[in-house]
Formats: sequence, structure tokens, C-alpha cells
Amino acid sequence: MDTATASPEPRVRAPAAGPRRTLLATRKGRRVGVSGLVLVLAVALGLLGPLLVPYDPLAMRLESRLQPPGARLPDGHVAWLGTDQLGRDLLQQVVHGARVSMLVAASTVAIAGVSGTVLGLLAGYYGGLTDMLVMRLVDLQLAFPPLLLAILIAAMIGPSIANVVLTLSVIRWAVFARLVHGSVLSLREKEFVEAARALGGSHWRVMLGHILPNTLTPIVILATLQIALQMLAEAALSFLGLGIPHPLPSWGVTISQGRDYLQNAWWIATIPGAVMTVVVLSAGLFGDALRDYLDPRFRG
Amino acid sequence: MGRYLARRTLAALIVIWGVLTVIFLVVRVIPGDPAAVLLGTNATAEMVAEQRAKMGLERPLPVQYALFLRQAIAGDWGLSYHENRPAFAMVLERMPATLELALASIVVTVMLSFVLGTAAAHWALSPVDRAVGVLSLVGQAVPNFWLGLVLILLFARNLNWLPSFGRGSLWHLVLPTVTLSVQLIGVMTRLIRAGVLDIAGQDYVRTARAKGVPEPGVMTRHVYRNMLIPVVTMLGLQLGALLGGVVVIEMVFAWPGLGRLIVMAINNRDYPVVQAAVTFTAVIFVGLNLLVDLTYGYLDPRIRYA
Repeated sequence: MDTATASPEPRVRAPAAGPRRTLLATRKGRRVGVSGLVLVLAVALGLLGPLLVPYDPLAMRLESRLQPPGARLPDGHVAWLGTDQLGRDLLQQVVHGARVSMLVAASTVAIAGVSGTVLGLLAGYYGGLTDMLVMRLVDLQLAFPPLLLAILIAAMIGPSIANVVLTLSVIRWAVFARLVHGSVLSLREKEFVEAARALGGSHWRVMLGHILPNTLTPIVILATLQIALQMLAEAALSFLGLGIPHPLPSWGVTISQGRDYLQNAWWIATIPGAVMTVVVLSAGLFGDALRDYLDPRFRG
Repeated sequence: MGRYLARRTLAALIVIWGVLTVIFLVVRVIPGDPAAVLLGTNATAEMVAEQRAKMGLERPLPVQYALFLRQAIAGDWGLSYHENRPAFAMVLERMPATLELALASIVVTVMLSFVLGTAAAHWALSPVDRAVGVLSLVGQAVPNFWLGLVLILLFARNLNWLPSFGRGSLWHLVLPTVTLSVQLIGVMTRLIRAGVLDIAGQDYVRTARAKGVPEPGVMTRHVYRNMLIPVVTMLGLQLGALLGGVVVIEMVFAWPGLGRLIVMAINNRDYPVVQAAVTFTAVIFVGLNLLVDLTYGYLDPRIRYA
């Protein structure tokens, strides 16, 4: 490759050591900030939006059904994103869908992350039978394509928000367990762990106070990246009718219903998906930026 | 090699046994009596009881489990409650459609991501590189079922270029394949760009150019050849996402494959079909992962299985 013409990227100077190094002092840090900002906006929309845009999932206005974006409804307010087949405002559905989507993604990543981390930590630290049992369970878990397992479990326990959270937590814990298990195996042999034990630290103290803090960075990175995956999985389940039950607003449900009206009301299916793409994209970008920032092995 | 193969195959068989056990347990916990569902709302209590006995649902669970394992190994998955035909035959019937879609998707993914990844690496940091980078990120973020609907809206409904559902001609394959591949292409393109950039800077590549190897030869024999291991590993890791995606995409495009069969069978509470189809998919997944592990030695002769 012709390296002379390619504009050389300005070398990132070694960040000044010391406590005063701030997040925004480096290019990588600024990327974390910018991509995080979009995500924070989306979260704020999900949290506060429902207060600003009241929505009653059962309030139907059949006289103003399938109105295009920007239409003025008989009651005077403007449906900026149009209305659906039952006359419900699409903007309201999108905003409330954001809340469901982020609630599910955040809680499943938290549950799967914590349980996977604990199991991986126990397996890696104690070894032996615990290790064998947990890691065989991980192998078994990873032998199923995740979404297929989610579909199977969701079909078994029926659609509700709590069940979606349970299902999506079950399909992701193994990834965390495997990651933590690997790190713990190498950390367990380090001198500082040996020292902590020699000083009389209990197993719990060594695990939580010495080993866990040293595995935290990859866990945080993995968790951020999993949020985007979980949002997509929730939408796919809801789209198939196995996720969030019908009258509740979820992006997957709205898209699935808009499917029957593609011909005469394209906006019902397309707009929520476009919004979702932007939110998932910003979650992914944030995860990538965070990885580049925290993990010196990935120099982009 | 022989011992390694034996050990890996044994491990795969144990995983398959675990899969069978999980499937057996999961399906028994689904709420609703399959016998009652099969007979409909007009059935009397006696009719339901008779049907349950016929389906073996009255036996104790351990007996059902032993029976289930024996029949599973023999390929006897029982009759579909819904269609009254062998469940395994229905699965085998649907397999070619799913295989066709999955293979088409893998081929398209590999070809496109090599082209895009190489282009991005060749003109690194140029607008081309940035465009490819943005596209591959967006590709990973787009919900695939939504993309499918948008493609149907554009190319089938508005432009009328391609059929929007069903299986048949090569044209039917286009939209589902594209939809299924987009996410994978995003992942693979980034990987290949990084790989080409890394390897193109190595001394042996410079040496190859210096001794006059033509550029296509440099790329295929020296650059790509040494990237195959990460590429195959990543493909193996993404297979699970692909097989899960197939289920959703088949529902979007009414593609008559395994995924659609599974969702339909779940809606009908057709236990034997759900069991047969999910197990079959999981077994294929385990088998493909085994295959990925075994190709390493072929791709890189330095790898020896101790």
C-alpha cells in the first residue's frame, strides 16, 4: 500500500500519568464522551419522554387511523409520526417503546452479568468439581443458538415483561461466566493473590476484594456491547409474538403490527425500526469507544 | 489427530445429550395440555384423557425421558400432533430450504466482506474506508426483521423487482439472503479490514512484492491465506446468530424452512415437531463448531493436535 499518500493519523501521545488525566483529554476519551452522549439522550428520552408524551395504549381513535406523519388529528394535536391502524399516535408508541426496550436490555444485562460473573468467579477460583459443573453448563448453554433458545423458553413461559427479562438473562449469562472464568484462572496464580491469602484473607475477601476488581474492565466492556444485542433480541422476540405482550408498546410489537399495513401506511413499521437502529448503533459505538479507551491492547 | 478427533467428538456427543435433556425438560413445562389443544374446545374430558394416554403423557417423567432418549437416537420423534405425520420427516423436509438460505448467506457474506474489507484496508483512512466503516457499523445495528420489511417495501411493493415471500426461483432467494447477511457482513468486514492492514505490513509480504509476485498472488497466497484462521473462527462464532436469525427471517419472508416450522409448531403446541426441529438445529450447530475446530489444522499446517 502507498503509505506516502495516506495521511498519517496523528500519533496519540502517551496520556500523562496521574490523577488529573480526564476522560476528554485524549481522542479516544472524547469518542467515549460523544457516543455516550447519544446513548444518554436516548435513555433520557426513554425515562422522561413518557412524562412529556402521555400515552394510553388502549386509547383508540378509529376515526383518525392510518394518518400519515404530520397529520393534524380532529382533536387538534399533530401526529408528527402519523397514527397506527387503531388511531394511536406513533410518536407516543416509539417513545414508550424506548423505555421498554432499554428497561429490558439494561435489566437482562445486569442479571446475566452478575450471575455469570459470580459463577465464573466461583468456578475459576475453586476449580475442581465446581469448575467442571459450571463450565459444562456453559458449554451446554453455548451449544444452543441464543435466539433459538430464547424462542423456546419464551414459548414455554408465555409473553410478559418479566418473562422476557428472564428469558434474555438466561441466554446471556454463559458469555460472562466464560470471560470471568478465563481471567480468574490466570489471576489466581498471581503473587498479590497469594499474598492476600498469606495475610489471612478469607476466600470471599480474596475473590471480591482482589480478583474481581482486576477482571472488571473486560466485564464492563462486554456488558456495554451486550446491551445492543439484547435490544435486538427483545425486538425479535416481540416481533414473533413471544416477547412483550400486545397492548404494551414495544418496538418489535409495533413493527410487527405495521407489517400488515406496509402497502398503505409504511410509517408504522419503518419509523420505529429506524429509531431503534440509531439507538442500537449508539450503544454499539459507545461499547467500542469504551473498549478502545479502557483496553490498551486494542489500539485502533 | 485421531485422538484429538475422538476427544472432540466425545465432547460434542455429551453436549448433544445435554441438549436432548434440556429439550425434553423445556417442552414438558410449557403450560397448556397438548391433548386438549389438539382436540379443540369441543372435546369432552374422556376424549382428552384418551388422547393423553395415546400420546404417552400419562407415564411418569423418568419413563417418558428414557423412552424419549431411546426414540431420539433411533430418529423416531413421534407423530406431529397437528399433521399426524412423523415429526422427523417434517424436519428433514424443511431442512433443504433453511440450508439453502444459510449457505447463500454465508457465501454472500464471505464474498462481500472480503471485497469491502480489502477495499477499506487498501484505502485506509480515506472516504472509502470511512464509508465502509459506517456501513458495517449500521449493518450490525439494524434489526434484521425490520430490514426485511423495508426491503420488501422497496423492492417488492414499490419497485416490483423481486418477489416478497415464498421459495422457488433464485429471485426468491435474494431478499432473505441479503437481510440475513447484513449483520454478518458488518462483523466480517471489520475483521478483514483489520487483518489485511495487519498482515500487509509484514516483512514477508514486502518480500513477496519485492521478488515480483503479482498483486493478486500476494493477496491470495500471502495475505488472505494467513487471515483464514481468524476469519473461520469468527464465522464459527457467528453461526449461532445466523441460525437464530434464520428463524426470524423465515417468518418475515414466509420461507418454508426449519425456523418457520419451529415457530408454527410452538403456536400449535406441537411438541414432537418442536423437539425434533430444535434438537436438529442444535445438533447441526454443534457439528459445525466441531468442523470449525478441525479445519484449523488444515488451514495452518503448523497447528498440531496434541
